[in-house]
Amino acid sequence: MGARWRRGLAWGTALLLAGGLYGCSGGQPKRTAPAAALSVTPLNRTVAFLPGYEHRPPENGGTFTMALPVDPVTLNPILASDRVSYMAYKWIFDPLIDMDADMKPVGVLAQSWENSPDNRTTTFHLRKGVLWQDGKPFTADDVLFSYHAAMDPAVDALQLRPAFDQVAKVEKVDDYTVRVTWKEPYAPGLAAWVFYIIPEHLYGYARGKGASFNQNPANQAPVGTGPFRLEEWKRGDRLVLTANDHYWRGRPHLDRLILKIIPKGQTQLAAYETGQLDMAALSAEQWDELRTDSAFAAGASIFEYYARQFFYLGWNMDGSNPFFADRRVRQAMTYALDRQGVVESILGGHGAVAAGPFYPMSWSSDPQVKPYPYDPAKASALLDEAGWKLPPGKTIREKEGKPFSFECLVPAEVDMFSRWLEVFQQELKRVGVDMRIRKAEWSVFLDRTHRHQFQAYLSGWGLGDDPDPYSLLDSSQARLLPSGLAVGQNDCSYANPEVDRLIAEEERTFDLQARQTLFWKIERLVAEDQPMTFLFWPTQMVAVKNRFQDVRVSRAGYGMFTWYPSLLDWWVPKELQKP
Amino acid sequence: MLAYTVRRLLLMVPTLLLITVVVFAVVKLAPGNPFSVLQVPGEGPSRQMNPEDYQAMLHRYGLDRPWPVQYWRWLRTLASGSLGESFSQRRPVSDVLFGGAERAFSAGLPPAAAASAFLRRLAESPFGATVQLNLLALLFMAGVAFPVGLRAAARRGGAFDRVSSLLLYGLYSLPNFWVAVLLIVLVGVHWRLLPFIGMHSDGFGAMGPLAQAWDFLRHATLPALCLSYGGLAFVARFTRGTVLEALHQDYVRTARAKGLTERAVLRRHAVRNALIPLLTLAGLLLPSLVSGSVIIEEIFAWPGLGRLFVQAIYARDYPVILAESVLGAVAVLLSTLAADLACAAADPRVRLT
Repeated sequence: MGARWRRGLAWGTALLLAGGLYGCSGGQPKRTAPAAALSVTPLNRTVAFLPGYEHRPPENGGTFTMALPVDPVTLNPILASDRVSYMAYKWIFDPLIDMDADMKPVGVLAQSWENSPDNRTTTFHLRKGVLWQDGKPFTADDVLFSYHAAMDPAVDALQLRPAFDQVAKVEKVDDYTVRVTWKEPYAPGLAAWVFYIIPEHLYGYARGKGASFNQNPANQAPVGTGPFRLEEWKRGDRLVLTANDHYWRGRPHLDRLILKIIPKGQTQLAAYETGQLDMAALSAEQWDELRTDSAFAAGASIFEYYARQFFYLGWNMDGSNPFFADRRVRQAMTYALDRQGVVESILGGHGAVAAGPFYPMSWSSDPQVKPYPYDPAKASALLDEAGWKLPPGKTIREKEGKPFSFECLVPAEVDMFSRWLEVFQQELKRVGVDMRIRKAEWSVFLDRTHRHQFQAYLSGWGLGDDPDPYSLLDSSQARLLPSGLAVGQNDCSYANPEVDRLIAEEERTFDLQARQTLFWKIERLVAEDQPMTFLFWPTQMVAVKNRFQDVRVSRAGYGMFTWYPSLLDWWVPKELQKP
Repeated sequence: MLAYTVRRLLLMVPTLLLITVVVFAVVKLAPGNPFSVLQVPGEGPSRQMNPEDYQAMLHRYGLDRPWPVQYWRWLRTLASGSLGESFSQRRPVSDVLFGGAERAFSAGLPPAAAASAFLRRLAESPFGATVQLNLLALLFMAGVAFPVGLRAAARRGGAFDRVSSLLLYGLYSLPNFWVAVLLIVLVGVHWRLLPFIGMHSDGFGAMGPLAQAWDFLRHATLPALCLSYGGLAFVARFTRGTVLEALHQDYVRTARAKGLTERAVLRRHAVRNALIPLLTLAGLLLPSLVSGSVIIEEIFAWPGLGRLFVQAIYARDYPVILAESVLGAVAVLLSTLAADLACAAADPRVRLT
C-alpha cells in the first residue's frame, strides 16, 4: 500500500510527457558495461522463469493482449508509414522475406531465392498452396500487383519507393516465380523485399487511379496471408485478431491477439498490473520501482534488449558555422562529454555508449572500434590545436575574435534529450565551449535539420534491415535541392571520399565476409572523423506475463516486431489459459 | 424573440468564418504538413522519401497551393455539406468524428431502426465519447456545487461555509493529471473497484441495455470525477456569491419582514433571482461538452475528441483540426445564445433586441 502510494506520486509527475508521438518506438532507453561485452539474455532469469514447461510440446489456445498507443492509421501495408500501423498489419499480412533472430534474411512468402552469377537478377521462388484469408490462392500476380501499386506515383506510398530505387523491373516467370532485375548489382536491395504482399483480387484498382487505392475500403478491412485475421476493429478501443487456421506454416499457437488502444505511460502499466494487458514496456524509473515488487515479479518475464537505435549529436560541417568543419573540433566535442556518466545517471544504466553507427550486436560492427573515453584534457588540447584558444580572463574560447558559442537543436517532445543536453552543456562549459539549447517542435525540428539550418542537433537514428549507411554518410546525400530540402539524410554534410568509395564497394559486394570487412573499414574512418558524436545505444525493457512460453530475445532484439517468426511460436500451457 | 434568434443565428456565420480563417492560418503557420511528418528517423534509411515524389504528393492533395487557396477549397467542401477527408486516416472527417452516424439514415432502414443505429454509432464515435463523459462530469459538478453553494450562502460564515470552501479550493489546486494517476493506482489497481481504461468492458456488445449503462457508468466514473472536481470550487463559489447578493436585496428584507421562514426566503426569493447569473454560467459551461480534455482522455484511454485533436495536430491533419475547431466554436456560440434566451425566459425584465 505504502509503496503504491509513492509510486502514484512519482509517476504522476513523470507522466505528462509520456504521450507517444516521437517516432522512436517507445519505452526508455541498459546496463552499464563496455559496448563489446553487452549481453541480451533476459536480465532477470529467476524472475522470468516459470518452471515446469521447458520440455512440454507447445499447446494451442490462449489470448495475448497488448497495447497500441493510438489507432493504426491504415491496415494497408503499402500505405502505412507509421510504426503503430505496422504493429497491427504485420500479423495480418506476410512479407516476401523477413529477417530472422540472427538478422539474416529468411523466406516467408518466398520459399527461396537466388541471384544470377552477375548479381543483376534475383529470382524468388514462391511458396505453393498459400491461401489468402478469403480462400483465394496466392500467386506471383499478387507480388507484381503489390510492387506496381507501391511504385505507382498516384499511390501514397512514397516512403516505400526509395527502397526499390535500384530495381529495374519485376517480372512474373510463372505463377510461383518472380524475377527482379536490378539496375546494377546492389547488395542492400534484398532487404527491400521485406515487403508485405496485398491481394490483387480485392483491389479493383487501375494504375494511375490513386484514389481507388488510397481510399479503398479494403484498407480498413484487410485480407492477408498472415498468421492472424482481423475479426473486429473498434476504433479508439481495440483490434481483435484471430488465428488463421490455414496459415501456410501451420496456425500460430495463440487463438487471439488483442491490440488495445491505450496511451503510453502509467495507464499501460496499470492495465498490465490488473491483467488487462499481457505486455508492458517499462521505463527505467518504472523498472527501478518494480524490481523490488514481488507481486509484480512473480507473474512476469522481463526482458531487456537494444532498441537498435542510437542517439547522436550531429555537427553541421557544411561551412555555415566556423566550428565543426574542423575534425579536431568534432573529436574534442566527443572527448569532452561524459557519455558513460549520462548512461549511469540519467538512463539508469539502461544503455551502452556508442562507438559508431552500426549496431554493436550485428556482423556489421567492428568490436575493435571503441567509444572515445571521457577526456576533457584531451578535448582542450585538441581545441587549442584547432586555434580555439581561451583568452586570458575569459571562460569561452575564441578564434579570430569569434567566441565558441553554438546552438543545439533538439525535439521538444523528448524530455530525456533536454536532460542529456543540460549535462553536456555543463561539460562543454568546462572546456570553454558555450552550447545553447534550442527546443523545437518535432516538425519544426525535422524541417530545419532537413534544410541544414542548424549548427548542431540531437536526434536518433534507427537501422534498416540492411546496415548500408549510404543515406546517412555518403557525401551525395547532403546535397540540397532547389526546394531547400536535402536529397538524403546526411544532414551533417559529412564528406569523406574514402568512405564514399567504401560504401559504393560495399553496396556491390554480396559475400557477407567481404562486406563485413568493408563495413569495419567504414566504421573506423567514421570513428576518426566523428561527423557526429555517437551517444548511446539505449535498451528497452518489457514485461510479459510468464504464462507465455518460448518468448525470447535474440541478437536482433525482442522478438515481437524485429524478427520472424517470434510470436508465432509463443504458447500458453492449457491450465494457464484464460477462458 | 424569434427575429432576435434568427439575427443571432445569422451573425454566427461571419463569426464562424472568422474563427476558421484564424485557425486555418495558425495551423498553416506551423511548419510541416500532413506528409512531412511521415519522415521518422527512428524507422531507418529505407523510410526516407524521394523529394520529387513528395512534391507530387503535396500537389495531389492541393497542399502546394497558397493557404488562402487551400482555405477557399475547404470552404467549398464545407458548403457542399461535407467536412472533407482526413489526410492521415484517408476517411471522411464525418466518419472520423461522428463514426459515420449520418449514414444510418441512408442505409434504407425503417426510421426507428435507423434512428437507433444513428444513436449507437454516434455514442461510439469520438464525439459521442466526449459528450457522454462531459455530460456526466457536468451533472456531477452541478449536482454537488449548487447545493453546496446554496448552503454556504444560507449560513454565510458558518462552519459549513468555511470547511466547504477550504475543501473545494484544496481540490481546485490539485492538478488533475496527478489526481488521475492517483485514482488509477488506488481505485483501479490497488482496490480494483473501478475500471480505468476506455469506455467499455470486453463483451460490451453482448450485454443488455441496463448492464451496458452500468458498465459505461463504471468506466466513466474516474475520468468524470477528474474532469469535474476542479470546477466545483468555481461553480460553488459563484452560486454562493450570486445567492448572497440576492439575499442583500430589498425584496429579501421585505420577505423576511413579512414573516416568511428563512427557507422560504431562500427558495422563493433569493434563488429565483440568482438564477440569471447561473444561467449565464451554464452557458459558459455547456461548450465544454464537446471540448475533449486532452490529458484526462489520454490517461484514461478515453476514445474522445481531445485525443483525436492532439493526434490531428501532430499529424497536421488539417481537415480534422478544422472540423473540431468549428464544432467547438458552434458549441460556444449556440450555448451563449441559449443562455441569453433562457435569461429572457426566466426574467421578463430582460429585453432581447
